[in-house]
Amino acid sequence: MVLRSILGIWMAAVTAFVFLLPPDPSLGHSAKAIFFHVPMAWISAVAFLIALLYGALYLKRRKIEDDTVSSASAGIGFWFCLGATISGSIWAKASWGAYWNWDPRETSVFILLLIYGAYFALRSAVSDEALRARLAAVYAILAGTSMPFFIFVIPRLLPSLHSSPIIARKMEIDATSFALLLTSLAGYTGIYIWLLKIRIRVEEVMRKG
Amino acid sequence: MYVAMAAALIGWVIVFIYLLHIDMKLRKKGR
Repeated sequence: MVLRSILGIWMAAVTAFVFLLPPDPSLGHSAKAIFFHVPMAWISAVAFLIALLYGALYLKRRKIEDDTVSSASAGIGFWFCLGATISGSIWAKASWGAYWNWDPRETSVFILLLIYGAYFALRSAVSDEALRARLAAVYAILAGTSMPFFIFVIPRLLPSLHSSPIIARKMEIDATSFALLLTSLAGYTGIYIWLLKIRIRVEEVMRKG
Repeated sequence: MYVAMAAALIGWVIVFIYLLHIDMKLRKKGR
């Protein structure tokens, strides 16, 4: 309860500080999306890797609890990825002039969302628990292996408006913003862990009754 | 800007209380 209360106050403080920061000289208030966009993108990558790890563990140990963790993490990762896409889109409107440009970064994240959308379609299509867990584990490994290419590799190989120097420059300019970004990242990590625990417990209640 | 900040804070409080509510319900079920 204490940790949850700290998390609640922590994220409220992060939110308040983000809004109280002075606007960026070139991008204005829209640049503040970085404090929500970057942590959500990172947490989605971590969540997909956890889904991969527990998928592999399920194939090794055949414990249904591992499948529960894998699917719970993939589900949270999907919502965080969607959040990163929406916050990125709002930022894109302010800095690039359009919500969606089919920029390599936007296209790759769209494909990633489709891949994980298909993961849940696969899970809901199989009624047998053991078969569903086995198929989902294999799919989580394949999807998790392709994820770093969609997030980190492909957007850097192709010319993109979403260039790293924009982020790097912001971090170099303002140490306060960088500290706030790390604080936000820590808060989002806490939210991810809490959500994961809740989803695992909910799945267990649904399975065992 | 203050209106947006208030809206974001209220949004977070609603999400936080909702999560806390689910957490408590699961605890009552012995999970």
